[in-house]
Amino acid sequence: MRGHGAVNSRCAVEVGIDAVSEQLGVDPMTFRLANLLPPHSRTITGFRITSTGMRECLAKVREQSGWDEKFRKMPFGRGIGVGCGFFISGSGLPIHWDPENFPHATVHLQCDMDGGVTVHTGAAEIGQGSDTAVAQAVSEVLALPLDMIRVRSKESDTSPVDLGSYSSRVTFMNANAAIRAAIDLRDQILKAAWDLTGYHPDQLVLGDRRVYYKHDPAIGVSWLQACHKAQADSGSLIATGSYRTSPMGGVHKGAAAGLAPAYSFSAYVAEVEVDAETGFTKVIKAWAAHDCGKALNPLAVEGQIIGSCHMGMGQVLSEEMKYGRGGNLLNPDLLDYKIMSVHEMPEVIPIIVESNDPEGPFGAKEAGEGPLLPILPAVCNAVYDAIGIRPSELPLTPDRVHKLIEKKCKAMGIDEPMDLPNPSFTPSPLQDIIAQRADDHAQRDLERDLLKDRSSYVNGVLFGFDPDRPISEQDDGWREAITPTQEDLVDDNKRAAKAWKHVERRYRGDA
Amino acid sequence: MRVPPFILHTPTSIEEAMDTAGTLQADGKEFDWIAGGTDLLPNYKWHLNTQNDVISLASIKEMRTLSPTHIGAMVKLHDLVEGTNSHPLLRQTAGSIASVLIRRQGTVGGNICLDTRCFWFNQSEEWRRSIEWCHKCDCDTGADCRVIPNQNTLCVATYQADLAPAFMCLDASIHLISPSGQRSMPLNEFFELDGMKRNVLEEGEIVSHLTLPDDAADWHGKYEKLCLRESWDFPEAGVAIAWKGAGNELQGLRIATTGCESIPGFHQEQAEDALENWQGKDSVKALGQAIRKEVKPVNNTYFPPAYRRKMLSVLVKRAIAPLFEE
Ligand SMILES: Cc1cc2nc3c(=O)[nH]c(=O)nc-3n(C[C@H](O)[C@H](O)[C@H](O)COP(=O)(O)OP(=O)(O)OC[C@H]3O[C@@H](n4cnc5c(N)ncnc54)[C@H](O)[C@@H]3O)c2cc1C
Ligand code: SF4
Repeated sequence: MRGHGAVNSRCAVEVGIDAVSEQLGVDPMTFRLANLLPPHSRTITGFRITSTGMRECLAKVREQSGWDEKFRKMPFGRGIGVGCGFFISGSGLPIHWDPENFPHATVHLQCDMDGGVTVHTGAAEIGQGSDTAVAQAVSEVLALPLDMIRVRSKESDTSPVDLGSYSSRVTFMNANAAIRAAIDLRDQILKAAWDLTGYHPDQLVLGDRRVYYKHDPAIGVSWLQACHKAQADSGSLIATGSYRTSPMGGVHKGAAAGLAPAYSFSAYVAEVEVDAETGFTKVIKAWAAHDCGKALNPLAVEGQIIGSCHMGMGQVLSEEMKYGRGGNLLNPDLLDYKIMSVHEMPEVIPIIVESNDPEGPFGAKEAGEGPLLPILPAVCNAVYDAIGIRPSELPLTPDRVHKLIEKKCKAMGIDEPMDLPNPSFTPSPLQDIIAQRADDHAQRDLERDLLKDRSSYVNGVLFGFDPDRPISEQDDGWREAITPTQEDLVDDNKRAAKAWKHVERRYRGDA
Repeated sequence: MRVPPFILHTPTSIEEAMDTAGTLQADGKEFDWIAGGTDLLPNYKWHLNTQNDVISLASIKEMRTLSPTHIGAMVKLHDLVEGTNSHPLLRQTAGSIASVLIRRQGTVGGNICLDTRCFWFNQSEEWRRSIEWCHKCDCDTGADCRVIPNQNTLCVATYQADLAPAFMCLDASIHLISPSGQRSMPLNEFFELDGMKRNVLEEGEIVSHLTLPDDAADWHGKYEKLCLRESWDFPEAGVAIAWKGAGNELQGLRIATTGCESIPGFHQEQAEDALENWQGKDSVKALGQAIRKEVKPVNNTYFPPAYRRKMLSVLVKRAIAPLFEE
């Protein structure tokens, strides 16, 4: 499963938010819009939020799904629900080694005699398109067509070490490393072109397999001439680049979990049909907005969104391991481990939202695990809208839902499930207040985004913090550090990342 | 999980098939029939009761005849679905089986003779070894049934084929041929407990075809199937209902179920009771309850038995619904 650990807890939180809005008599969409973090803020747990497109995601799915016309207004058995999610664009602290000493990602480039560039990377292409992403990053910086970039990502003897294809980190970290390597290579080419043309690199432009004078494109040299010159000068044309995250996180217990250089955000709306007599849930359509910072490869992002919906649909509706009395897995095959088939797959409208992250490669964040999160709660909340049942256990297999329906019927003294009341919505006075707050916050976010000052907004008003002063000034126990002090290390309760104390031992024959 | 090697015999006529069967029997060899193989081969892959010799019926042309009242055992499920003059109830039911790919391979005879299924049985050999086998495939260990233990004699594996209840509701007869002759019977008499015996077929006997009575065209009906996904999934419960006449003027009613017990159920008594006191829509609920009471699923398929049982009355209601549309 994608986004392991985050998915189920996110679903619980989002279903809880829906239940809270219901109790407060407010529209869950507005409720969410009134409680979003602004861009460039810091959460109470120490996450540094840079860009966020959450507001735009919610606005888009609200509009495209026709939320305002549908929410609590559809006939019994038909429902609509919203769910949100956010996800790390790469784990801030690498799981394998000391981030102080080693980078998260390294990429080597080698420019060949034919002018083509070979990328050596350890990032594992597992079908998600990471080879394409790294090739795109290099081709963008060097202004070369993609067919001049070769990616060698599957050879552990020639590639630099990479942390792995996990935590939705590859595009963010590896493409950042690739960009740095490409800039190094570009500078070498520009220097050679300077020697050949007499124009300073500041005045030269790369494009169309040429390096030319920016005020008169006719003056210039071909990419190949510049390459050969650079190779003649230095013997070989190679470059390397790496990426490491900036210091982040507090020193409290658990501080290491969920830290990332950037976060993706998403909001989905699902429309479902629930058969109250049998407990079957069918997802009719899903509107899926995902803020991936910048879609370097929009087709792949859309594919990830749709694929995530498929995976998440299984997680919310059908996929589970069934164990027998003696602990035997009863359904270890694809017939009885129910992955949704094409018939069950709803139409998914992928909506890409681009918040242009300041630290992401060309503004990109992740589109790997994050897009899965919101489909689960969106479906759960839609089931509530359809029949007024709020499940607390996944997956929502027909037998489970049917049990809940029976229970409710019994509690209400109703014989036929079809006679259950259709959930309705009467806004409380709070609705207008939070709608106003949502509008105010939209304005606040816009202003923060335009602000040059990127110091973090502190999200701790509820806990008595001033949003505009750094949290370390306001809380004695708060220190921002990526490396713990000696004191922190001896205090077992302090640092979640025990890895700091872990000494790597390798057998060298003499030890 | 490889299919173990076996000798495949490919007779081209029923007569030749009977000769082959006779010869093998005379040599004291046990064997299996194979039609489309969509059930037998997966079971062989799992090393479930495999045989050294397998006789294929695939080349026997005479078993592929398809007319409104004669359905050869080797008629492909897909051809039954596409056959414009097949009975609409059969077409609809066959269309709900597995997927197009499997329907193009699987046959009517194979579907009727489908092996029973069970969570403790349809598993790889290693898996079954870990539970020390079960009665249906005990590898001579004398293992117990894992669903209802301490009985040692019966298997309660579930019959999960779709076509049988539809055929039963059309009052179909089944025709069998063996080296010692031919016999025919109403389809509901073909099935015989338990989950291992499954039906009355003797060693060396095949199903040659099924026939429908001439008045089958006067009967209308519907099949309702309970399964999680729209394709692939075996019925966790299935109800076929056929009727003659319309609305409140009902002249005939038949009802059959599958996917709940070791053999499909033909519920003549319940149908007759309902017909006798027929009050249109108002009788449906009682009919559903009667069927639900009659059928007793056990815990060996995907959905829990209590749920499957409850769904029977819903399936009855939905299968009979077209009777009241007009
Ligand atoms: C993924 C999957 C999903 C499936 N889903 C369904 C489903 O939803 N509903 C359903 O009903 N079935 C389902 N099936 C089961 C099966 O594929 C079909 O029932 C099919 O009709 C079996 O026909 P066959 O010709 O392939 O049978 P085979 O595998 O060739 O034979 C099945 C059994 O019948 C015996 N047999 C075959 N023909 C004769 C004959 N003429 N005389 C005597 N014995 C005979 C064989 O010896 C064997 O024991 C599914 C199978 C798979 C693999
Ligand atoms: S019902 Fe019992 S004997 Fe039959 S297959 Fe299942 S476990 Fe084995």
